[in-house]
Amino acid sequence: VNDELAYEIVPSGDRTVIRLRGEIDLANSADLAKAFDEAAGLVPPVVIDVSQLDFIDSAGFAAIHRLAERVPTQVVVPPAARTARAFGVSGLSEVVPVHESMDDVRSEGSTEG
Amino acid sequence: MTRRRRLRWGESAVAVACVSILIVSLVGALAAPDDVFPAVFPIVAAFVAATLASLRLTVVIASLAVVQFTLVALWSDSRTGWPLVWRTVFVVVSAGLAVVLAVLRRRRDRELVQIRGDLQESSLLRTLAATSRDPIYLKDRKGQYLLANDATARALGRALGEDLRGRRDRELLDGDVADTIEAEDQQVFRSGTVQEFEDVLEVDGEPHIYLTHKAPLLDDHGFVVGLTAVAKDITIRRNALTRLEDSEHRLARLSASRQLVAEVASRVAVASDPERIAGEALAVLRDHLPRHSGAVVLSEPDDPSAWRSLAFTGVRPDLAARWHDTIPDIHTPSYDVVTSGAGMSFAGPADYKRAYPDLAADIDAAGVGGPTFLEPLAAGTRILGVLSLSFHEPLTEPDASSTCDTLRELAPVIGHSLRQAQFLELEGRIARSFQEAMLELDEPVDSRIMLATTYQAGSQLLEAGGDWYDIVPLADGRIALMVGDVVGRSLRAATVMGRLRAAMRALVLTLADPAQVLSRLDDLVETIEDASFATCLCAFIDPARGTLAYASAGHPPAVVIAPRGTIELLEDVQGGPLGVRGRRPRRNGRRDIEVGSRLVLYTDGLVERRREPLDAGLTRLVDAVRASRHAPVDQLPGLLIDVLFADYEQRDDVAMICAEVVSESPAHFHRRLDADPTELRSARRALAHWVMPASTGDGAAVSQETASDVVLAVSEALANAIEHGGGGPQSIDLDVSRDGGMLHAVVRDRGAWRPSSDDPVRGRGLQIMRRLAEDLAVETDDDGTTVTLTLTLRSPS
Repeated sequence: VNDELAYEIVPSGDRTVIRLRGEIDLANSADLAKAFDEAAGLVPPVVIDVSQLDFIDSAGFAAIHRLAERVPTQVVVPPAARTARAFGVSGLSEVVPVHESMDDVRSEGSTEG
Repeated sequence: MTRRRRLRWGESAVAVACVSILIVSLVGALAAPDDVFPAVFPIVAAFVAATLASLRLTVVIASLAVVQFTLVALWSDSRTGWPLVWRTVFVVVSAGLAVVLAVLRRRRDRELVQIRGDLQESSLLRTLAATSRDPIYLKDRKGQYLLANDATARALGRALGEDLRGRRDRELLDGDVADTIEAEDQQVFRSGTVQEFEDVLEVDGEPHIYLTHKAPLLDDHGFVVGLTAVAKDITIRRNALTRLEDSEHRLARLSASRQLVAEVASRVAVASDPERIAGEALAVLRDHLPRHSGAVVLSEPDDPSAWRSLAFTGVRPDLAARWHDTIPDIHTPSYDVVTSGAGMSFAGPADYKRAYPDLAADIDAAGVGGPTFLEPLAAGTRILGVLSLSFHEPLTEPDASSTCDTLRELAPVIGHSLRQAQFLELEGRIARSFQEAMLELDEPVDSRIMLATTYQAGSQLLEAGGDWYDIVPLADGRIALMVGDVVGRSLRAATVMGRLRAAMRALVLTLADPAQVLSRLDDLVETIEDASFATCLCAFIDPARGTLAYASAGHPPAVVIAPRGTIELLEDVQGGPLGVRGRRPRRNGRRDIEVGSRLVLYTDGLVERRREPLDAGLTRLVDAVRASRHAPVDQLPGLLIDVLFADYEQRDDVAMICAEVVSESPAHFHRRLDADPTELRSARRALAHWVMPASTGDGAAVSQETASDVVLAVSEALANAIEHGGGGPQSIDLDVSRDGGMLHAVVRDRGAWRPSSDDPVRGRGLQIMRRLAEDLAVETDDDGTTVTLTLTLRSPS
């Protein structure tokens, strides 16, 4: 019974923000994929905010990667986030734009993922 | 000499005289037979008797006269020259006349006696009437007084009965009274029967009540010609009766009021919080008084214009909501009652609205149609709030005043109960914060065991106090866990708890095992007031040896769950509560406890429910522990409380310790897992705990970043093993060991997989491991695949 993943989808005029909380691993990456499917149907790009996320592993990174292959996706990982180092070693930034704050998302605008 | 004897003497004298006349006339007739007169003399005697004597004597004398005359006549034989026949006729007629005369006389005498008697009687009646204090009178059909005694005259404001003769009531009395009396008279005339009336006449400025019997006065032909009346002044009797009835009513009201006050007192005595007290009091009033809207309002001690409503009855929900709390800038009667300390009442809604125009709309909306009463709820000199009652219908004057009296008696009863409840509430709050302050515990940092504690206050503030837990690391590497529960509640229980806990803390540091601790406590509780019958559970965990020793003093059993999911309630060494010496000494229970095992210690508030056997609660707890076995142990206390009180209000306080054995030593971490992704989270949690602390042994503190790296790398290795490792329960082994500044993690499974970079997920997992670890090795043999990670440990900068 892994109920640790919580997410919130906030659609706005020019993007869809999805905020993730808790821990993401093999046990709940399927739930994350469902959340991403929901967000993918809304206004692109999908901006994933992980500032409140406690843990993410390769299963989570794979889900983000798969989403980015379908719709324009960006990830916001503040340097102080608990998952910052995990994102750093994941190599995800090679395939998905990763920003340090929501402001950077605005200034750079939508980038092809 | 009596009249009767006088009569007899008179009769005798007349009889002698008459007989003498007869003898003289007989002698005369014999001596001078030719003379007529002597022969007539007997008749004279008869007449004398008729005039003077009784009828009987007259008849006797007359008969004698006739016989004598007839004998003399026969003897003289017409010598007088009168024919015999005529003589006979004359004498018989004369004698008859004499008898008739006597008869007439007797009748007249009798009439005279009658008349004399009548006269006498009427004079008696008149005297009776004159001396009577009750009015007696006769009226004719026109309403004129024919006859009236002085009492009648006095009742009508005159002196003498004579003054009334020929007058009518309307000449003597005020129009209204006269009309009433004449109407009554007419009723008697029309009905022709005796009737009874009650009239009020003013006599000497005082109202007098007369009960009058009026009877029709009939003439010889049976026609109503007037009426006779006898009246009785019943003023005094009536007033006495009225007073009696009044006092009976007063008494009845008083006793009803007393009963009501007593009922309220008994019902608020069992209520403990202010809302309940107010609710109970209003419920009693609702059941016993006519329809009304009632409220109990508590005012702020330092601001009488601020209030809080404790309870309502008969108030529409929207009004109750509006009046629940202070409405700013409104002048309320409650404010005036609280500031003045005096009750208030209004006879009706109009008065109420005139005094408080702000409330006019609410008064109408509440349906107020009768009086309103407001009484201060005082406890001693302190005024806590106001009891107010507004009746929907008007009340009679006596009802209103007795209701007012009742409320006045009731208000202090409610006031005192509210004050009492406030004190208890305050005490409960103090007890609770005292309790919480004492239980604040720097959980000992030990890399081998994860600990989570909670003290969860129940909804019943007054039940607070007395539950405790404690964790003490022992010098030999064991860890003592304790929970307990003191009998009693509130501040008293909290202080006893503090002393008992301190004593127990000292004992576990010096004694060898839990049973010794409890038996020393048995001695100690005799010196701590109110500590007897406290229950407690003491457990020593030895992670290095993988053993658990425990003893219980009447406390609910601890729960142990092994990594494989088998659950046990530790019920085998249940002794009596502290201070209750059983036949056998306190005993230790012992279990082997492997890494990954969890232990849950708690107080009875967690499992006890009203009207339910304890076993049902224990079963529920075991199920909840089993269901949450994959959750991290630091979340377990909260999770168990959520699950167990999902459908039941937590009334009592709960103290709880959840522990999980993470490793046998600070140098080595071992864990065996199912091939189940849900195991990952608690494994990570355990590993993070083991890596992080400045351990009691040789390990040095490790930075947060390093700990995260270790956890992420190992988690990736475990995920690989779960996905590809061949599956099955307990099929994955994790061994982590410290070696100076290095850390070696080995994940072994039963599969035959090889790392592949083609798999987008596992490929990324491998990449992460490689980047985090100094070295990564994957070996596959007949038994399965082994992944070895080597990481550098960095101290916090």
